[in-house]
Amino acid sequence: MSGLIKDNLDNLTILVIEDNIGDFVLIEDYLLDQFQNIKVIHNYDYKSAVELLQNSPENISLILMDLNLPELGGLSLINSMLSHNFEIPIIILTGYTDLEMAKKSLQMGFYDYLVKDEINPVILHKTITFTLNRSSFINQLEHEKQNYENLFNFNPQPTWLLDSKSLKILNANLAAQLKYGLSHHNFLKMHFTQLHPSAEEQMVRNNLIKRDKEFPRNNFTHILSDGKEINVNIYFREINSEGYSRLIVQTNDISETLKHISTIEVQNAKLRNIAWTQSHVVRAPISRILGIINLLEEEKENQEEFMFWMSQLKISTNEMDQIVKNIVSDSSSFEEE
Amino acid sequence: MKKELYIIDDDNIYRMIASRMITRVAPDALITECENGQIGLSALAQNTNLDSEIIVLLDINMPILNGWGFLDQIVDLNFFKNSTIKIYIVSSSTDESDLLKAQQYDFLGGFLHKPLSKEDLISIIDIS
Repeated sequence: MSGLIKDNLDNLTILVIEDNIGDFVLIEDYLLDQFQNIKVIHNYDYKSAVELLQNSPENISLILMDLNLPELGGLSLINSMLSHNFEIPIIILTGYTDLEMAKKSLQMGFYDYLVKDEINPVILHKTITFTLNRSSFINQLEHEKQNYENLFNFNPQPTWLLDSKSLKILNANLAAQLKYGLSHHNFLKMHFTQLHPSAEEQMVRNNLIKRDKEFPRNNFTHILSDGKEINVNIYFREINSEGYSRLIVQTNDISETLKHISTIEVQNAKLRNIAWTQSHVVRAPISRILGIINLLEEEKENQEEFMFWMSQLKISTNEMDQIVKNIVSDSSSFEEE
Repeated sequence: MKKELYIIDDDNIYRMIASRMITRVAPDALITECENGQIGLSALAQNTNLDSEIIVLLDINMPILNGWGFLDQIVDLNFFKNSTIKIYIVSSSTDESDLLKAQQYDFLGGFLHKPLSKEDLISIIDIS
């Protein structure tokens, strides 16, 4: 901040719009005396000054303007100058006769005025320094405001600005317009609660108006312009904008997440089913095989019995094989879903 | 006292194996094979021999009436009133949910995993 001002003071270009050559020479003297590296540009009339400003406004740091120019003066000069919106601070130079007009110009957006008969190098220096200082602050505030507007407008989450009492929508960002399929104009005709099905409206209204920091159960339904319903989390904060209490509200579409969760739950149920099957169905032939082996150990002397149990072993083992194959195919069906 | 064993299981090979094993451990035991809980209940109901000691080896997973259904019926019909009966669950299952469920029936003699070993049978039949 201070660096910026210092830089401005070191490389000043001042436009003086003054038809009286005597007045101009005096002011130029003072300027050259007070500021180093200063460049003074002189225009005699309004028309040539405006032409210069329109062609290269970025070079001019500040304007000193006589309130009485040959073709234009007083209120019409002030209004004409303001209508161009040059964004360069203007200081009025005036005589005692136009003092009232000069005072009025301050309310209209001019930065300051100097009474010609009272100007001396010190006052001129002080006035210019203050003016540049103030305009720099104002510019910075304007930039910040622009930054915040961009943060709002280009936030990828749907975001709204609401009146905190009525919950009327005062602004809706681009993400909200795209996601909900409603134009900015359409949003401004709505209340935020209208995005909800009627069953939820009262609850949402109560929560937003009471400004509870968190919703007890943050899972709501929003209806898009095409009638499609989505599940959303809602986040909001109270802010103060231009003296009014507002709410910034953001929604987060959790439909996909919920869908994934329910898919996972279905898969978990399948896994539990597989585990249970493992326990019952897979172990049935295994326990049979083990049981037969126990018996075989006891009955190895009887050939006929032995052959019978051997064939049973084969049947159980094949059954086992089929079960394992089924499990593999059940598990692989997960990936396809 | 005479011992009567009821093998309630839908797997006929298992029943064959179990019978054979029981015969080896206790040659005098009377063995009845039932292929589901329903058949097991009627077989038990028809048993009027008050002198014998009844041992039931009960599977869980069966068609028509499974092991749990069988146990519920046993409770409902008040089977313990006039006979001594010892019931063991014998299942392939190692699933914990089955074990937990079995604990709800406090009259059960135990929960055994298939296959039944000779030692299992000796302890079941002797302590009963």
